[in-house]
Amino acid sequence: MITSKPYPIKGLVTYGTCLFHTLPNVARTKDALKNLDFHLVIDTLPQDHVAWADVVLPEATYLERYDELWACGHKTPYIALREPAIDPLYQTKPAWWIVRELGIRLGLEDFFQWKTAEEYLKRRLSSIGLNLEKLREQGGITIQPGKPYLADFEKENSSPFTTASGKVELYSDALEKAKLDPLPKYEPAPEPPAGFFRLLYGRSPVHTFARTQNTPLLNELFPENEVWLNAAIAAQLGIKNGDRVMLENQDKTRGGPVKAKVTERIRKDCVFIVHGFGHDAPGMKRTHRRGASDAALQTRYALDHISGGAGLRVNFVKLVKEA
Amino acid sequence: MTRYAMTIDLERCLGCQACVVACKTENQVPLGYFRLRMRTIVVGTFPNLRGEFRMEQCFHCDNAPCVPVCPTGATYKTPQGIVLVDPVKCTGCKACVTACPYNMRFIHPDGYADKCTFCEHRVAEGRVPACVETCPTGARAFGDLDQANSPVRQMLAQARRSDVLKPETGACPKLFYLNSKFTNSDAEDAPAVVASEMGKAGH
Amino acid sequence: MPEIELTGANALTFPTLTTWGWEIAAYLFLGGLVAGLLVFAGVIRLANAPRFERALRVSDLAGLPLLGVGMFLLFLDLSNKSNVWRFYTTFQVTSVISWGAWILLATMVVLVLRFVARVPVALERDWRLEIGETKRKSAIAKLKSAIRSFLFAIVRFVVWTWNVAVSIGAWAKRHDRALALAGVVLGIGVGFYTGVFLSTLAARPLWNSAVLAPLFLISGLASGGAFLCLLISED
Repeated sequence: MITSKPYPIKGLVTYGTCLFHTLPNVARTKDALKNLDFHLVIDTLPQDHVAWADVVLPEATYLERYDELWACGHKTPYIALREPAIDPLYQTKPAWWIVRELGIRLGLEDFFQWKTAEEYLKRRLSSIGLNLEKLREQGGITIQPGKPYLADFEKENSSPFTTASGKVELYSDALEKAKLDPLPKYEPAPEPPAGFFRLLYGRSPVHTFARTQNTPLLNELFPENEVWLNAAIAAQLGIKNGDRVMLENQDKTRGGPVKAKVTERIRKDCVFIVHGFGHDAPGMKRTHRRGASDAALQTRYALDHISGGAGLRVNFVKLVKEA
Repeated sequence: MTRYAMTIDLERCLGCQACVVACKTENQVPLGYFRLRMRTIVVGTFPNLRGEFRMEQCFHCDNAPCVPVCPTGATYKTPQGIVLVDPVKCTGCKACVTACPYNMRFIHPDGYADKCTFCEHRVAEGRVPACVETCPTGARAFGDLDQANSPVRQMLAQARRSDVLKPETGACPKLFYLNSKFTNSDAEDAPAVVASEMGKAGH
Repeated sequence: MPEIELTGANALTFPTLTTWGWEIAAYLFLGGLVAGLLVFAGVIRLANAPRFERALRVSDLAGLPLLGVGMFLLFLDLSNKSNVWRFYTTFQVTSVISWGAWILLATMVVLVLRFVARVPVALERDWRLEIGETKRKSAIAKLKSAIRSFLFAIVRFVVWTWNVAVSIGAWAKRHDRALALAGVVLGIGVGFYTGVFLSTLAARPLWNSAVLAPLFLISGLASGGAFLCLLISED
């Protein structure tokens, strides 16, 4: 979206994603959005990124809609139904309706021969001899006959592992052939510069990602995140429990103000904040501008050169006391 | 005789507060008011730390000090040992709120004294309280203390230790904390509020 | 340092107990004051000490309004005011507050009786005025005369009530000594019961002491005595 390489991306649909919290380096995300010709946002809440949309299609919440069947193929395979408890409030629509209406307008009617979600679900369920009524009678969830994953392979005398040896490999020949480390080699991560702390983020059991901070029952239990600071370090810095501080990272990006939680529960070289706060979303009145956003402070991330996985705990912040 | 009681296994409690939210939705508790609350206790210096989450709510004491002080008889104990308030009779004089040694009561915005009711409306139908049903780790159990093999008796039998808060008040609370890390003998280590509060259960 | 955090505490009890505010504090003062006045007045009457006649009069006249205000403050403190009458449809023998509600009621009766005993004379003037027949039957004239007769009806009612009070007062004067004794007993009750109530609360260690009830009574007596001294310079 930014470089136009290997090809330009000019249109984006953001669906059910808190774009400015789920990706690190919010400033870069915003630059990317500026290059778009068209941005469609589908969401149940007026999240931070909704203001960056050309068109907003408000979606009904899970309590107000049918969704695709949830088919889960683990040790006890099951199929579960999601159905609405109430009709959608205001002018929100379920995703199946949005997708169908968009599809028809894009000339894709052939793929949407069903008119309602019930029709669609009935067709799918009929393939296992069920329908909506029968599924509801079972409490909305049906356990399917199934066997543990490996039983099939044992029968065919083959291995589920796609390695050359057919076994789990601690020393990987495939990686060696690709001129990469066949055994993982430890590379020490850079330490925080003097006066800085490694920024750790994590969860509170009260909130889910960045989307529940505005929910009244959850907001009153956990209204804003705090930056955990080791008690001995806090004493040195003259920061008391409850003091409001700004967090400034190695690239001079600032977050906050956020309350300091002086505690023994964290190492001296790290600070910790719960993910999903620091919303810049005036429509989410209870949580707008409360706390600090970890995603905004994560202006750097480390990409594992083998797997491509991103490490986000590589940013360092210092605490600046509010004037 | 029936004596309803509850146990909370502190080794299983994650402090997720699903019970707080379940209670609020089941009993329509208004925002800003709470029937259940959570106390997070951490003791020690990094990295040698001990901690636990302690959920607190009305203990439906055998010898509840809040019941005799009520001037209108609005607050009473059912024959099954659940302490309730009849909002129709309550004048909001707050004698009961002041009499509770555990500060578990509050005044509902509609003017009457309110608190955890052990979901008496659910218990009457043979169900367990909402907090017990929703607990994802099974830390909570509810049942009849006077019935051998009830869930609470089983939990009490399996626990290494069981405690109640402030046994010195003589209120005989019926919510037992199981397997706490803190004891009265942790005088130097445990915070004062815990050391004086946890004691041997006198059930 | 132990780290303790509380989520979901109610503002009424955390971080400090705020169940009762200035209304109750003011009531405790007024209740104690009236208790003191009743005890002193009762003792003065029973001991037949004419030297303190003025003190007696002050006590009789001040007692009713002071306790009236006090009970109104108790009413203001209630969170469920529309249920206030329920204090008087039951008697909960274990509840000191219930004892107090009934003691206060009895005390108010005694104070009313002592107050009306001080009402000097019956009103004997004939307050009926002539309402002249108007010759003009205009609407305004009819309205005016309706209003006047309504107002005169009110005045007649007030006079009737006054005279009823005077006769009650006369009865009270005849049973002066009995009322004085009742005043002493009830005064001690009023001065005592709030202290008893607070002292029985095991939940509040600061109050949980046998010394609290006598403390309340004695401080009430002191207030009553001081009040009288304030108003009666020569005694």
